This record gives sequence, structure tokens and C-alpha cells, in this order.
Amino acid sequence: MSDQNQDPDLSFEFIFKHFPVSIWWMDRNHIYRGCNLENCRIAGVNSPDEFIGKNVFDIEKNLNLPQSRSQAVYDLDEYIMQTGVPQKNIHNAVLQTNEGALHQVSLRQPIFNKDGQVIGLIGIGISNAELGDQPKLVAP
Amino acid sequence: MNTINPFLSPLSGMQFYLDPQPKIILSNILVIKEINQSAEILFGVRKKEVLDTNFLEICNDRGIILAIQKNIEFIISGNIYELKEKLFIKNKEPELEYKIVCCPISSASAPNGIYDMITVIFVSAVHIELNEQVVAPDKANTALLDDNSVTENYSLLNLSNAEAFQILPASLWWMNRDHIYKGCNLEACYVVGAKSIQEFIGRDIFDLAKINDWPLFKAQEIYDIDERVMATGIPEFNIESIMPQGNDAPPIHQYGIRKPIFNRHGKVIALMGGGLKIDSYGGRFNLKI
Repeated sequence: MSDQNQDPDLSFEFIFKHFPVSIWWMDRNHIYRGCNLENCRIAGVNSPDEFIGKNVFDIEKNLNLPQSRSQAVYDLDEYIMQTGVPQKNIHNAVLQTNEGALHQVSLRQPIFNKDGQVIGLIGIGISNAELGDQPKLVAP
Repeated sequence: MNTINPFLSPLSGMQFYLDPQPKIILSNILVIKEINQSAEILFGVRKKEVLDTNFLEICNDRGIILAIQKNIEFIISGNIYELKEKLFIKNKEPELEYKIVCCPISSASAPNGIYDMITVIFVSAVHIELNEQVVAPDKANTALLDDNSVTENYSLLNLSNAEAFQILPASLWWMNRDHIYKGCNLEACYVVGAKSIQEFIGRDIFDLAKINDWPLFKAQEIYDIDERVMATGIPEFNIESIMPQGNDAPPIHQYGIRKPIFNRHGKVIALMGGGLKIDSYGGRFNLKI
């Protein structure tokens, strides 16, 4: 990753952590294995450590979202991992805020091993607005 | 030794190898000179076993071989050739159908402007738009499972942030206040037609626009959005744009975002941006939860 660290003030880890898009990935058992801070905000957790190791039911339960919704998300992820076919144009409300629903457009893509088996899924979502009053992002 | 011009540097070679679209580079007598990971999976072979062997060794469809042989002169004289013959992969469920496109390229030893090799690209109607065949880096799948147990499988997915960033199916980049790109992922390279991350970094949008022959107004449009965000310090959402592609390929529709980065004195010093491919322009998304 040395090419992404050319600017000494903006390390790759800083950029990844604060990228204004939700990034997450999960294993074949639907267990989240990584994410960035924007995803933590959407998921209502304080850090990736609180997100990793959980599944969609664990996360959305804390957000008081109905289980039927979590099941729909789970089913979509399972479909992608079973078929190996990515899905784009997934448009859904992810949170209710004081200003109304926060929407995201997301894309989910299976991850294969060299044998062609699906071993996980990676997703990325872009919101239609900023979540709450975010402070200015200040470089270290 | 890799003697092919566009893939000389390790990173661009890696980009070729990790390209989710199956690709094979053949000499003008159909000897395999390069094969990427997706093509290895497609044909069920290992690179080290098939380099410098004839394409016939891995593709047993004689119709395809004959069609390429028949048109080899046409291709290396600088033309892109799309085969009428389709490749059917029968060991996949469901059976996958690929169309085959051959593009001319030059080896390192070829005189300037002379093509002496071809890249064979296998285009799946299902997978092409999303570059779907993302393969986890080596470290994530060092062991192959004996029992295919899902429980075992999941422990293999151990991507670092950097690896995840690179395989993300969305274009992500950042630039300094002078609009010079300082970093990106592979998808961002793909969208602008850059062959490597090195080719992307250190340039501005006007430089990158030249790769795919974008009209000047398109580069100016993107520059203006970036400048507006950096001048005002206000992030922008819901940015929809159409990114032209070279070689008469259909343009990519993107749904994007921009966010400024400040220094401790409140001055904007950089910008991060990203874009997702969407099917159509105008927010007409077709799948809802």
C-alpha cells in the first residue's frame, strides 16, 4: 500500500477509517469481519470492534429494527453468497433521523477463494445525506 | 519473465492478475504468455502449469481456437475482434456462457506501434458489469478445505483494511487541494481506464480524462464538483454522473459522494470521494429491501 501513503499527512488507515461510505465485509456464516467508521455510525456502534463478530440480527436488534427487516437483509446476503452473483442498486432506508430517513444505495459482492467457492461478501453503501451533525474531518 | 509492456511494473501486474474479468494473453501463435486469476478459476488451471503452452491445452473448443487463428492477422493489425462463438463452462451451476473479445497488445520486444500479442477477454453477461469474481488475496485462502465446512470456511476470510479497500466494487479515491490524486483503489483505475494505481496517482482529472478520450467538459464537470466542495468545505451527496469509457464501451453510471478534509486551522487540504455503479441515471434503483 505504499503508493497510498505518499502524502505523509493522510495515511491509508486514516483515509480508510474516515471514508464517507459504509464499508463492511462478512464471512460465509454472515459474521461481520471488518468495517470502517462510517459503517459503525450507521450500525449504531462505537468502533469496528463492536461490529466484528456480530451478524445482522445482533446489529439491527440494537437499532430496534424489526426482525423481518433483518431477515430480508440476511436473505439477500445469503442469496448473493449462494449464487455468487453480486447485487447492485440496493436502495434502502437504513436509519430514522430527526430530519427523516437516511437512505443508502449499496452494492454487495461475493468474495471467492481460488477454488471458486464463496467465502464471504463485501459491501459498500453510500448515503443520501450526512448522518446527524458530523464534526469536520480534521487530518492528524 | 513477463515481457509484456503494460504489465511490467509489479503493481500493474498485480492489477492484471487480480482483474475479476478472466483474461489471457496469447502470442500470435496462440501460446499462453499471461493468465490472470479469474481465468485460472474459469479454466481450472494454475498459471505456472500453463504459461508457454498452447491455448489448445486449456480451451478444448476447437471452434474458438480456429476463429482466433483465422483472425489473428486482423487483430494484431490493431483491431478488436469479438468472436461469434460463445464459450460454455459446463462445470458451473448454472452453466455460464461467455462471449470472447480479442484485443491487440504489444510485447516489450515489439517495435513501437506494432502489435504482436492478443489479450483474450472472457465476458460473462451476468458478471461483466460488476467485475464480480472477486478473489480473496492469497493470505485469506492459504488452505483449501477438505470438508467444505462452512464453519471452517469463515475463518479463512481475514482481510486487512487495505485488502478490503482494494477489492471493493466501488471507485474510491482522494486528492490534495491542488486536485492531484494521492490514492485510489483498483475500481477507480478501472473507471477512468488507468492501467495501474501508479498511473492514477499524481495526476489530475484532466490528465486522467485523456486515457479514455473524455471530452473536456466531462473532466471540467468533475473538477467543478471537487473544487466546489473544497472551496466551501461542505460535503456533497447524491452526485450522479456518467463516466464515458473508451473503445465504444457503454458509459458507467455512478452514484457518488465527496467529503473535504481539513487541517487544524480549519483550512481544506484534501478531498475524499467515491462512486458506486448504478444501473441507470436519475435514481431509478430496481431492488429495494
